[in-house]
Amino acid sequence: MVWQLEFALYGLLVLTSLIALEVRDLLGAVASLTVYSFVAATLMALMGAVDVALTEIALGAGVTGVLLIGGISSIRRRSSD
Amino acid sequence: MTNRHDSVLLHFVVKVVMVPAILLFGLYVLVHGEVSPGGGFQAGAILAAGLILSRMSISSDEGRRLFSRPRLVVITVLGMLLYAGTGIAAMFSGGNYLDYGVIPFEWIDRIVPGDLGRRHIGVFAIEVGVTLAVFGTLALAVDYLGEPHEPEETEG
Amino acid sequence: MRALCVLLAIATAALFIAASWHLPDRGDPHAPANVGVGPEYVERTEQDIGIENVVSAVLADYRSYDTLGETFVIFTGGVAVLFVLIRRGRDDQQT
Repeated sequence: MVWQLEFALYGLLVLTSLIALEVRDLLGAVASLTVYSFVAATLMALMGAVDVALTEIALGAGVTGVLLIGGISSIRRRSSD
Repeated sequence: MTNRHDSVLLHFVVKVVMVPAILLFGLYVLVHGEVSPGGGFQAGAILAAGLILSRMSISSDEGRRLFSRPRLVVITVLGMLLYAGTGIAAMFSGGNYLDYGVIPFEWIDRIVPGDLGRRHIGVFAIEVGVTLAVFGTLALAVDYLGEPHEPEETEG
Repeated sequence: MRALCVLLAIATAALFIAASWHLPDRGDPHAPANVGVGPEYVERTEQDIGIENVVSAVLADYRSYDTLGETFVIFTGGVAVLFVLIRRGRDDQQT
């Protein structure tokens, strides 16, 4: 059971990172990165590293997203490439 | 980014449900860090996330006054001083730097009796210091980053 | 060019997967990470410090110099960010 769940989470990890790379809307990229951090934290919690998961979810999914949103709110929202 | 939105539902959800829950969970992670996963970094990040959420959505005047920018700087520096001062306090009674077992305060024995009481207090003091430093730093960075200004058209 | 990039990414992923094939199992007591100084911490934390959470004990007591350094790194980064952003705000007001 845990094996299949972890495999699905690894797939989701790759999928969200590809979405964050490919999407034109930078706000959507930030949202995708937040999902990436959440999935990574879930994987860490499944591995038993609960402290690392808590840090990842507080910093990676919470504050980094806010910092990136603050950054793209001072530049243009669309990516040019 | 730090705008005030006039939505009754948003005010209710943020003010009554989310921000108190986040702040309470941050304090829980700090105080319970010795027996369950958690600690200073996580608690500081969670507390800062609660403050940032209230700044981004409702942006109340009381919150701005309570955690104004000079006060956040003071909080950050106080956290660092608490950490470094705990280490120096152990040196006054002949121990090494950050050796909590010999902290020279008599009142610790009344709060946490036992041989390891001073170690508990020392660990808790530096966790509080880390929490204050991380909380102040993150809140300050987001506060300055989110101040309103014109989006500038940059080439390239 | 894009096909080359995709090929390079797939080759790197295959390299990582092939390298991870021989990693020790999760929780293996004979893994290199579990035979060094780690078991000492797990055994001695209870009598040395009296804290149930071994991670907190290592971070805050055994390795408190490291944590002090980390906190100073965060503090210094915050101060640097602060100076950059304060200067930008002042420039905006002048122009």
